[in-house]
Amino acid sequence: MTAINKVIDDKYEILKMIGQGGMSKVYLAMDRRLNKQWAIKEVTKNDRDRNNVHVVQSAMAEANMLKRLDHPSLPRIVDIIEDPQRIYVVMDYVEGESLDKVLSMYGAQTQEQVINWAKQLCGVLNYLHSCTPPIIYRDMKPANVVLQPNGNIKLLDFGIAREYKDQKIEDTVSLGTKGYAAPEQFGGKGQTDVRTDIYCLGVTLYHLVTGHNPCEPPYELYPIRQWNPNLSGGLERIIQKCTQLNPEDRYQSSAELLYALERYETFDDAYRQRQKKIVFLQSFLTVAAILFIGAGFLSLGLRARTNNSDYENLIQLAQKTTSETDTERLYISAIEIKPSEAEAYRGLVNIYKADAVFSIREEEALTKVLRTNLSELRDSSDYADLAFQIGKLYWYYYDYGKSDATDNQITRMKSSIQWFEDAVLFGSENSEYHQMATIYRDIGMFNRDIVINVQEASDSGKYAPYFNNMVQLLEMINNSPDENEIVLLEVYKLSIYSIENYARKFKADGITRDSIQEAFDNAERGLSSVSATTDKADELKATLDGRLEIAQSAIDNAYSE
Amino acid sequence: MHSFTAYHTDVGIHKKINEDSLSIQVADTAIGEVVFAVVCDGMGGLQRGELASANVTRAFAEWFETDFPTMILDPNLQDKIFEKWAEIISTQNRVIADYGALYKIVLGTTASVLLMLESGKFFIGHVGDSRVYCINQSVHQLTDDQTVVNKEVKNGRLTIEQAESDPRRNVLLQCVGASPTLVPDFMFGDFSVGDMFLLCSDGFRHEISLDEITSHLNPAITRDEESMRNALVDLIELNKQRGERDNITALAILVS
Repeated sequence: MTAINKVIDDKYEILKMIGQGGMSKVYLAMDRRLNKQWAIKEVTKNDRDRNNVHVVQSAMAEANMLKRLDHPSLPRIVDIIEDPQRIYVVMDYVEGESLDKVLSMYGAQTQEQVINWAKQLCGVLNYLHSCTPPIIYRDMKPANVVLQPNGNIKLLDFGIAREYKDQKIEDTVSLGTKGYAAPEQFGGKGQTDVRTDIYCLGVTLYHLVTGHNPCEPPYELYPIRQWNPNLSGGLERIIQKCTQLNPEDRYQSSAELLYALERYETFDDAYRQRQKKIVFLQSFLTVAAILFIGAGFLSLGLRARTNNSDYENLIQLAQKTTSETDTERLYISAIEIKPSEAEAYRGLVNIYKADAVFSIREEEALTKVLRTNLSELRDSSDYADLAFQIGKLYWYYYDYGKSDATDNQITRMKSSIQWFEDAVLFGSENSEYHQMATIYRDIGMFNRDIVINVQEASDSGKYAPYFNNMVQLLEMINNSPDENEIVLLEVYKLSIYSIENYARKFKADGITRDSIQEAFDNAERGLSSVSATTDKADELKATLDGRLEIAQSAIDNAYSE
Repeated sequence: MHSFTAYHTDVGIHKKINEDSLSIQVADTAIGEVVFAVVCDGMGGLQRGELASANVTRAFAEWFETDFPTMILDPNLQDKIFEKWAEIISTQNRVIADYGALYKIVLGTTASVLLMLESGKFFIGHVGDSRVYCINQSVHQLTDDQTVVNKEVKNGRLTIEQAESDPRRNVLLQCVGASPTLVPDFMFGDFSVGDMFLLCSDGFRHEISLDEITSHLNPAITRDEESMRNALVDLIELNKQRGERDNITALAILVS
């Protein structure tokens, strides 16, 4: 045992003992240089004890593994000191009360509180499971979770010097001493995986929210509403799914569990009743989708399997659903499962532009999913294409600031610049949209900056590149006759209005009359070939027809001087 | 009433220490002959399970020697017995847990206790997965295993066959010494002349069948303690031959 007041490594002064296990002790220590408190775990070596040698080895192995981890819900390991007699593991001193103490003092915890903790625990499990190789915690229980004074939780005791490893299969054990172990944790063979942690977390949540320790009579995990009818049926289903005996029947990953926890209310009976109709209608499609996906993805790993099927499932459903709000909800759910896959976002973009109006509400919804997932999404291989689609969504359809009296073209352009910028930045130069994205971006930037440039008299020289971009855009649009009529009309509008406004400037920047006339003719020809099918397009086309004459006279005036 | 008793215990083929404990006492009292038997299966591997089983066995034996004689004429004898047994189990649970806490180890024990009175009444107290059988024309298992797998079988989630190979077959719901809450089973009944009682730790019954037990321990043809003991030894050897790795303990009482 290390004496109180002893200084380890000329640095850590032992203040007091704060915990004790079979072969380890935990001290509170003061870092003399940093003037900061740490917890120090001490494992005493004893070469004659075979069990101890094992404990020491596993303590070192675990400490070395843990020092690489960095997560707000895990104590950091900051130092490992070994001498001939002992190992010291220096780590964050976590203030607070362990949840088993909280339970024994205050009984069952509120549902909101438990779900909040559950999400945090899911987060840290997800972090551990995402390590290479995945770290399985194996010992989730209230005693290992500390509630800090700030309300957040920390997960302690990574089995440094955990001593059950020497236990033999034929030894009888008592349920209570095994903690909340999953069925597969018995029997010593240790076929444990991420789903073992899911089970233990489920049992932990059960204990926290009901106040009943499943290791005590009646030794059963009853549906939680049997203890307290006011609890959520959604949470009940989640806990039951976590604690299935067969790992295959549980959530297959902590991400999947987190997804369920975040919308546990949607698993409630009332909510399900409302949704039943929709689900019924779609169920045959779902079955088809699952069969198809099952065949396609058999080769993928276990963990990915459910995620993939859930995700693909939602996408398939979304594609078959006609109601816009349902489709939107399905795509957003899909995004939450796989935030780095572009497909579901593209689905959202398509429904938002379907009615040719990208409304403010829709924009808010899209921004919300994008903002939270953008960094992950940017790693996706087809992010650039998606960014291009989002850019066009803003450019042509964004509704903000639009009224009968005023057009919002500048707003639309401004909002889209960053997306075209991303399309250029993240996309390959050979991609079909790369050139278009560059043009859109430059046109947008021109329109955004030109007012200020004029005020600062620094606009000279900006018009020629703008004109060239405009001509290229016109050309590309004329080469893709299948483009949406609104897109076509908007490009003609941009060209006609630009000629009308900037004919003199183009001339000053050295653009010839022939070039401008050619651009104008192109736009005019294009415009006349559009047969508008919607009121909105019809109206726009009529307006543009009325502007042709003015634009033509702007060219004539500019070059007659 | 006259009773024959026999016992045998074996460390088994694998473990270094026999963690099982047993006790058989026969007494002549004011209410006639009384037989008292205890089997405890200690657990904890390296962590001194034999201490737990010996402690509980000793506590019950002491009760039989010193406390039981004072209550035999009590009109509420049955209530008194169960009340005292509950007290012993609860005290032992605390004492063993305290010992474990002091030395930072986990240890515990099962406990199956049988008391037989001349009047033909028997009483059983039970924690864990040791068993009490009554053998006459057929075999009756009197105690209910307090194990996870037995619970699962009763709930219809496992079949008896699955339970035998389930990895959790050695997991007790509760034991004396390592359960914060302990709810022992108490039961009573009547026996007749010719009945044989068998108390055993779980090591005795995993590898052999009930038919094998009754073919060796047949109350109809058993006439003396010697042959009862031989039968127990034979059955325990049979268990070992079949690879049972646990400690094995069994005791038998024949009423004649």
